[in-house]
Amino acid sequence: MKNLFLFFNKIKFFLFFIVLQLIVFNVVVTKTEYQQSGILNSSAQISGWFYSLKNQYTSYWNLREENKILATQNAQLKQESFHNYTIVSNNSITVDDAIYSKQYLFQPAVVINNTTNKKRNTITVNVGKNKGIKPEMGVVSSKGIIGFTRNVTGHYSTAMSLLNTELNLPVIPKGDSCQGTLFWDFNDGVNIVSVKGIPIYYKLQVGDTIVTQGGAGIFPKGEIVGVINKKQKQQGSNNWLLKVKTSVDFRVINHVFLIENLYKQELDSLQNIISE
Amino acid sequence: MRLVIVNTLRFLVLVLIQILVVDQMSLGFLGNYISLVIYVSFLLTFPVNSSNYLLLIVALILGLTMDMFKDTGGIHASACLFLAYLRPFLLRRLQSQNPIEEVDELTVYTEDLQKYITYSVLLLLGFFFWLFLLEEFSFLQLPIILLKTLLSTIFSTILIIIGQYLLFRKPKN
Repeated sequence: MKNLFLFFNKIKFFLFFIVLQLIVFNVVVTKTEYQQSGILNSSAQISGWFYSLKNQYTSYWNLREENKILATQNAQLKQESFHNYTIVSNNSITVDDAIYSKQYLFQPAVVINNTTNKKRNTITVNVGKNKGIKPEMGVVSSKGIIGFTRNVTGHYSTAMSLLNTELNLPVIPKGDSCQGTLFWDFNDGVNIVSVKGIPIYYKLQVGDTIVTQGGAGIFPKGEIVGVINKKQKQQGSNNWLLKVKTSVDFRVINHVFLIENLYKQELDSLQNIISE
Repeated sequence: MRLVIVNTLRFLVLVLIQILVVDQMSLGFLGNYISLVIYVSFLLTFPVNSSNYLLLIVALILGLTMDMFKDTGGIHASACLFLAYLRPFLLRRLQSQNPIEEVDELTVYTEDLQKYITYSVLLLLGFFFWLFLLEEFSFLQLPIILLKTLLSTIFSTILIIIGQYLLFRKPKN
């Protein structure tokens, strides 16, 4: 018995170390489960407040760039305006607005923190439950898609960026219907994502645009992801492995929009019935 | 008492510098392989005469603070604990060869530079290996993990040494 106590006395430092490690591992493990991390993410109140304070000062640095982007976007929106069209046909135009109903709501937000050099990169934005943000809402900028929200607190939310090895999103080439899966290979580096699963008999060119399919209910159909940079055959299958250059530069993100799909719940419950 | 105040201030300043300056630096494609840390400097300089258990608890708090800001779950806390666990053994080993003077804290000023670099490199190797291993969570990527560990250790050691010359005050004797 005395020897046993002596033994424990000898290794008590090691035991203390192990106990603390186990406490930490509890945090690491619960993090990988979907949306389980409560206190330890940057949408938490303290660090969220801190990052928004930082952003107040650093956001001045790229105002010039931001203005340019906003101006081009304004021009684009003006072009789509109804007054720019002249009537070509003699038949009267009827706009039947009863057959349309709004499915997607866009909400502006500012990115207050953003990482690009990790395996699971995240983006923190300055809107949260107070603006009706929920998990799994799409994040886009005026150039293309960025990611989707995962953790939401009172005033902040964190989003998984496309540069995340857990990413899995259905995409299609623009104007085509063959579906591929978007994922990110860490070794490709920033701003390059990959698409797999498109059969090789589809004729694709370098420079083709890849857009979202809209099937997951997070993004509308046709939101731009990027353009094909390199195409090669996937080893051991008859599919393309496409390297896509994202249209968004992930190192510089400032103003984004969060997309709410008003029919998401309906879509999810329907798709769950099919999969069961 | 003076040591408690100095170390609390040092904790805050190092965390702020890590988040506001070091993490905002863009290293281009090298950023995938190099992770720069300066906040570990706090654990390296922690008073020698204090309890090793206190060091472990402080390391846990420091790591969890970093995890909160970096969105990394708990891997920084775990790696900090590992470093704090290794430190007493390394100190004992270094002490037996040529004795470390009786000082409150281990900075570049109180130690011989060459010895201090050896001490930092050894501890940082352990820190980064543990960190990247947890990040990948598999032994299959071992070559990449080792490469990242090596590069990160070299650059972080340089950063920490320069940081100590710039931030820490020379003790008056």
